[in-house]
This record gives sequence, structure tokens and C-alpha cells, in this order.
Amino acid sequence: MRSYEEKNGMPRVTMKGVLPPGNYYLSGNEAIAEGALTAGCRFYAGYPITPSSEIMERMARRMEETGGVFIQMEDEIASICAVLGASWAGAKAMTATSGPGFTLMQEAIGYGAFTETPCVIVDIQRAGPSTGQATRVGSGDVMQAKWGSHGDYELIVLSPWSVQEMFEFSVEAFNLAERFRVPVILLGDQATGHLRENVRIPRSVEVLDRKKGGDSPPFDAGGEDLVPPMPTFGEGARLLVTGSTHDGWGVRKTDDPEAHARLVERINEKILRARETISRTESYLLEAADVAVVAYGFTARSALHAVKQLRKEGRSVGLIRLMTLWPFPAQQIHTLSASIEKIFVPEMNRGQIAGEIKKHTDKTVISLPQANGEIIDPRSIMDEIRRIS
Amino acid sequence: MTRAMETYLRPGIETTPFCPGCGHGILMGAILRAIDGADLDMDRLLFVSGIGCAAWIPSPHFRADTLHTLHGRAIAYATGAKLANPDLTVFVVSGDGDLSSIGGNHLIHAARRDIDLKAICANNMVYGMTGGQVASTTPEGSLTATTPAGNPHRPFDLCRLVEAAGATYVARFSVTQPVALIESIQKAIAHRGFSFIEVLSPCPTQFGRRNQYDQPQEMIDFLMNHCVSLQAAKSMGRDELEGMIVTGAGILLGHAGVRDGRWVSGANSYGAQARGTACKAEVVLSDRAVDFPHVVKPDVLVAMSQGAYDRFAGETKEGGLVVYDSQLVRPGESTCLLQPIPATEVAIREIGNKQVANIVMLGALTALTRVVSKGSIESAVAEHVPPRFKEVNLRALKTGLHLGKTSR
Repeated sequence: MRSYEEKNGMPRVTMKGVLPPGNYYLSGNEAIAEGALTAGCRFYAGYPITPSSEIMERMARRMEETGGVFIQMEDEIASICAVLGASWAGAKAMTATSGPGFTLMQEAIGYGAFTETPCVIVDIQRAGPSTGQATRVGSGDVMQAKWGSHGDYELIVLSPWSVQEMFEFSVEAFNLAERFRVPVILLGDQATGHLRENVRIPRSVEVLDRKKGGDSPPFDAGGEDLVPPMPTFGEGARLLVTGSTHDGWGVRKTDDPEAHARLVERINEKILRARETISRTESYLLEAADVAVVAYGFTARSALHAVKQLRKEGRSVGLIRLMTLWPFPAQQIHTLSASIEKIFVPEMNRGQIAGEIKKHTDKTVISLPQANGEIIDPRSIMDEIRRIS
Repeated sequence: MTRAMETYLRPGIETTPFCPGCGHGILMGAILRAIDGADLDMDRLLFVSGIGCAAWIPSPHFRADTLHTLHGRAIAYATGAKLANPDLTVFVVSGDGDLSSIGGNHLIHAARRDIDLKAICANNMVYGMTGGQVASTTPEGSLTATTPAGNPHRPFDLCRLVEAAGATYVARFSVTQPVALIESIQKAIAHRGFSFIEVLSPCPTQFGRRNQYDQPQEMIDFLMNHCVSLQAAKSMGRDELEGMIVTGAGILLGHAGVRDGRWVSGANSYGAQARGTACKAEVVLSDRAVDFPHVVKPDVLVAMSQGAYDRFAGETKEGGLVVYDSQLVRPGESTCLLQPIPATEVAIREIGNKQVANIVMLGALTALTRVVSKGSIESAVAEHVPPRFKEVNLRALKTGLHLGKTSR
């Protein structure tokens, strides 16, 4: 099934979809499971939580069929920890959850970032805080996804807006995790997770595997990408893996300021240096626009509809859709600022990304927050733009 | 540990990080001997540990794959690794707090699943690394840092708990029974399923000293008297002992300074860091408020070990004073005034207790430098050491004051 080729020193693996190529009608959550399997995921640990449980249920069945490992753990903490252990044992591994479980996982996500353990965490966001409205939608975990664990670290957060993208970003999440040795968050929402749409499974999908590196230190790297190769338990590498500050060989350095500064800088810089390739956006109807909507996730669907309607009314409005939330696509917002006057930011929270956009533009940013457990109606976006611009 | 076991240790490992009298070194040796006897390929072994003193038994010492994880989560990580690669022989080595309190849920669920992990729980009945707080295994009535009136709750019986949860190999030994312990670990290695071995390991530093076990040996004696004894326990290295004592002295010096009406900032090496490495207590004494509370270039260094001297003597101010224990330190070239004080020797000879060497040194330092007044240091010692040790400490202080006065 797999054909290997070397490209830029990285082993690249092309693997045909585990689901035969073709057109399917899937829910977003099911598409995530299929994307993961296509990417080579062979370990899943999870704990039931609405509205993400369909991912786990499908994985339970599909891992049986594909010869992978599925385990329902006793809680979300155990789930993410099992995923990290499995990753070091050589498996591409994932878990999926929603807000409350995502919060429980934060300490271990920081561990994953600091030990540079590739893994994928799916968060199908629901209306929080706390138990909130378990079956309703929200985008309240945007900041938690970036800042949820203590200390300074970078990880990658993807924001799909369709069932097709739930599949594609699931593959991409694994590729990015392996390439950069970092936890990747697939930040969906209830509206997209439970949405059913047609999904096209392509004939072949590019799949990346982690870099192996002979005698190189597993926790230090210079060069372009700052990503060290990753040995696996059982290979004879006699690995020292620790969440304490460590040197290139994993030896604890708990009171050496230089060792700490060096490691923290590298795990941040390896992501930030690659920002331009990681942080993706998509533009719609931005030609000669003086007003832009910036949106992400399911809300970008509402925003696109609104923008198209407003264009029909003769208003020069366009849309930038954030496909990557972290590292934040700062350059794209900066570039956008050169040509537009106002930026509207509808989102299913109290303005988390609107605040981030303000850091990167000197133009007027108008937050359109909505935290009521409902998706944002395109008409409310249109009304606000008509009223203010 | 005999040299035969060195093949199982990572190159460069020379000492353990454990306190004097701690049982974890014995347990470490027992695990390695069990592996030696079982003829296992170290390349196929994975040691997973959590956070705490016991978690340092395998990491970084064992020359195998080691995964030093988050507090409480060792079993969850181990579950993932074992399932992802069933060819690995996976040990979990951690403490009672880590495995049975914060990680208790994972423990019972791993037992229920009967997953093939070899869990070794070093039970010292207390949170050692964080400073001696009550644990879920602390005996009822015991004094800890957070149960000053005695632990009001019953402890877990870990073996019964894990057995009830479904583990298929459960054992309990004390580090005073190493032969039986090694055999037990070998049984766990051969067993296919969840194995749990509770190993009673004394913590004289955090548990013993609060609970009338004035000497490490008394905790060992307790275990020997309450278990079936097979071999006398071994004592630990001297360097580590000195480190701890210096920390206590630093705190006392600060109390005396405050009593003298001066501004005092003190910073002591803490917890994990105090074990096994050169350990230090810093005190800044000033007639004005202290801006930066750490010592940058000390005027006075008191070195109670060679390691401390080697590490900090160069940082001492030129022309400053270095006071060192003449039995334990051989000073090198120095731009400082070097003052030997036979604190350890005098503590043993005149007081009959090596543990008060730091107080002897504190007395000598006071006499030599007058950094605090004699009256204040006496009151500080009298007030801040436990009542039953007051007399011996005051005697040690007096001896030290005399020693300093006559050495000047």
C-alpha cells in the first residue's frame, strides 16, 4: 500500500486511502476518523464526550478492521497520556474530545510539546464554559488550544469548515505532527462534527512519517528546521524521555538556565520559523474590497454566504478564512490590512480571534461575538456590516 | 550496588539522588538484580515513571528506554506504549502518592484490564520530594507537614485495593527483604498480566524525622521488626547527608538575623534539587531592605562538602571568607581567606551525633564573623529545632561558638 521516496531528506510515504477512493456521505466526525486512518494512525485512546463520541465509536470499529489499537481509557487524562506513550512506542496516535476533556488534557499537551511527541488531538468544540450546553456549538476553545498548558510552547491548530476538510485536515494534522514533532490540534466544532456532507476520498494522499536519524541526539537539532529525529522504544536507542528540562540526549537539566532557555527557544522557533508554510488562509471576493470578514470553522460558512449576498447588493466586501489558527496567520492579516479599511470578525465566542487580529493590523476591527450555543446566522453578519460600513 | 550491576546503568551514573537512609536505592538494586537473573534484553525493556523520588529510580539511571512522565500518569503512558508495541516488557516504577493518589484511577483501571505491566510501587508513606505531606498511604496518626496533629484518616491497603480491582499478581515486600523482593520481581516479569508489587521503602528525611524515628536505622529497624527480615539494609553516601544539613542551618541563620533587627532574605535549594547534588542555603543579611534576594557573590561561603566547595568557592568575593569542614573538604587555590573548622569531627567526638555538624559549624561561623549575635543564634536554635532535639543542638552550637572563637 505504501511507496516510499526521499524528498528533502524526509521519508515521504504515499498511501492510498484506507477507504477506497470515491464519493461518500459522511459526518464530520466520521470523516476525521477516516482521515486519521488514511494518514497511518494505528493507535486511538479516548473517553466518551459529546459531541465528539462518533469519532471514537468509528475508530473502535475501524481499528478492528485495519489492525490498529483502540482503547477506551478511564478518563481524558489517561487518553492523552496513552497516546503520548504509544507515539514513543512508534505508533501514529490520536485522541478526540470536547471542551471539558480538552481542559483535562492540557498538562499532557504541554508535555507533548516539551518532549516533542507527535500526536493529534481532536477537539470538537461545544458551548462552554464548564459543562455548558453539551450538544450545542461554540468556538470557545480557540485560546485554550494555544495557551492551555503552562509555560511557553508552540503547537499547531487547524480549523476545518467542511466535512471534506475534516478528512483532509485530519491527514494534514498527522503530517504536521510527524514533520515538526509536535502535538497538533484539530479544532472542529459541533456544527461541523455533526454535519453530513459529501466527501471525496482521493486516489492517493501524501503521508509523512517521522524523521529517523541514526546517532543524532533525539532532543536537539540545528539546521533549517530545528526538528530532531525521533527514535522509538525498543530500537535499542535507550531513550531518556522526560518532561523535565533536558539536554539533547534527554538528560534532566533541572537547574541549568542555559539548557532551559535553549530548549524552550527551539521548541517555539521550530514552529514559528515554518509559520509561512504552516499557517494557511483562503480568500474570497477580496478584489477591490474595502471591508473584509475574517472567519474560521463553521462560522466561515455563514460569513461566505453573507459576503456573497452583500456583493450582490454592490458592497465591496470579501472574506479571509483562517484554516490555521495557530501559529496565527499574522502575515496574511498584515497584507490584508494594506487594502481594506474595516475587518469584521464573527465568531462563536466573546471575541477571542478578534483580539488576536488587533495585534496585527492598524485598521478598525469589529468583533461580532456570539456565545449562545447557536451557529451564527449569515443575516446577522450582513446586518452588522450594512449597519456599520 | 555491586559493580556487576553497572552494566545495567547508563554510562556516567555514579551516585543515586536519594537521601541517606532512603530505601529507593535498595529497590533500584533489586529491580536490576531481578532483570539480571531473568536474562532480559535491555533493548526490549521500557521503564515508565511518574513524578516523585521513586520515579527517579529508573530515570535516568537505567540503561534502557525510560519514559519519565507527568505526575500520576505513568500507568496511562505505559498502557499506550505496551498496546502500541506488545513486544516491549514494560515496567512502571513510581511512588505511592504518584500511583495511588493522583494516579489512583489509572492504577485500578490497569488492574481491571489486567494489562501486562509490571508496576512497582515504592511506598514510603509520605510525599517525599515535595517536603513530607500526608499521602493516601500515611498511617493513621502519623505526623506530616500537612497533618500537624496526626493523620486523621486511614491509609490505603494498596495490595488489597489492586487485588480487588483485578490485578493478577500482587505482592508486598519491604526493602529489608531484598532476596524475597528480587524473587517477587522475577515472578512479575514472568507473569502475563497486571503485576503490582508494593515495596515498603523508608523515608527518614520526610517521614522518620517527624515520627520519632530519629535515625534512618530506626525506620529500617521498624521494617525489620514488622516484616520478615532477610538482610540488613545498607546506608547511603555521606555527601547527600551534608547537603541536607546545610539547608537547615541556612534557615536558622536567617531567624537569628531577623532577631537582630536586620533585613534577611534566604533561599535554600529545594526538594529534588537538594538531593544528591551540591546543595546550598543562601542568606542575604543587610541593614537595609534587600532588593535582589539571592546571593550573587557571597562574602562568606560555608562549605560542608567537597562538591559544595568546588562549585561555589570560585563565586565567593575576592578577599572573602571561606569556612570549610576540615574533615570533608580539601580546599584548592583561592583568593579568599580559608578557615578550616573540624565541625563533623567535633560533632561526632564531643556531641556524639554527626547530624549536628551543621549546628557546630553555625556556631563557629557566628563566632568568626559576628554576622549575627550570639544571643540571637542561641534563641533561634532553641526556638526552631524540635523540642526533643533542643538540648543536643544547643550543645552543638556552644561547642561551635567556642571552636570559632579559638580558631580566629
